[in-house]
Amino acid sequence: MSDIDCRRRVLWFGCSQGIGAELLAKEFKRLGRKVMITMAPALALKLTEPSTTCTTQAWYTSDMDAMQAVDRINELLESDMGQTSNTSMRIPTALRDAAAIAVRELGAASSTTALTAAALRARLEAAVMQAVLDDHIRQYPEARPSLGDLAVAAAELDGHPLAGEPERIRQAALEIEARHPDAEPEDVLLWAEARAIPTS
Amino acid sequence: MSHLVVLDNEAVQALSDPAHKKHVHVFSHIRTVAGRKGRDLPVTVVVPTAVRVEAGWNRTIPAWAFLNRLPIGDITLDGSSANIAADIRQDARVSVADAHIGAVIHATTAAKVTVITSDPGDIRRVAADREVNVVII
Repeated sequence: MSDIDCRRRVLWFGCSQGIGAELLAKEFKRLGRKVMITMAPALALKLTEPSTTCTTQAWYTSDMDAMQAVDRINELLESDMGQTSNTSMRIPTALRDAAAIAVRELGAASSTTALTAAALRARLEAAVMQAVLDDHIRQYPEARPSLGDLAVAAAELDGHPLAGEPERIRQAALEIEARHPDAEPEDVLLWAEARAIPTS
Repeated sequence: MSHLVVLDNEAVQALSDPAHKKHVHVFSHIRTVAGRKGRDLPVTVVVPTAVRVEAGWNRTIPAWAFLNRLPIGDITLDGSSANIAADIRQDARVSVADAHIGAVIHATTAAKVTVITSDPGDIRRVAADREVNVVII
């Protein structure tokens, strides 16, 4: 193997381990012609070891990886679903039996496989959606909706009777948030509805 | 109960641009949908392809990465929906994009349809006798 091929392979390996090309090039320069393909794992390990002086978490690298994962998941979800694979995935026997009954007796899906695939797809879409929205808020913190905004949106999506009174919903959100910081938009709507009932 | 949420042109524009004055409003709807999907509620967000054309949303352009990454499905204008849209456009005198929204409303099997729009009048016209929840942005 030529020196160039060897360096290329080390570079590829290093990049696959999340090591920047500049850092690898610096290490090549230091080692001179002594770089060999067998050194790749050790070199990668050495370069990925945290510096003792660095105390900053590399959160941005993690973010980039999450979006790469999202892109790959989306690509797979949009691809041909006609191809199937047998998997060695183990699921609880009771869950499998419950799914079979749901298919047979309740018509929940055309087959347990279809039921499982649909549920898996829905969970994947939900996970992707949440990851993308979280990433967006990290990039644009001003886009983060308040509890009041979310409660108004929930009311509008449902055609809730209070949807036309956003200020009432926002007031309810402020009141409920003061006591329950983890309140959900639906909690706000319930509180706003209760507040709207005239007391006798 | 399955719930279909349809975006119109301005909803797409507002969602794609963090500086848009209606961004937080539409983002709140998508966040609410995400929360419901996380609770396994059958809610789906879609965009009719004619709306994408009007909004300039090209899925191959990186500038639209945020929307492309969200599970917002295309509803294509195929032969049969083009027939429905053509009738709607003729009767309601609306844009092609709005007529396509009308075709989606008429063709869906979802139990509930919500359209997020800046033009509620046109959406009510294209929906005609079909029940639709119109969210005004």
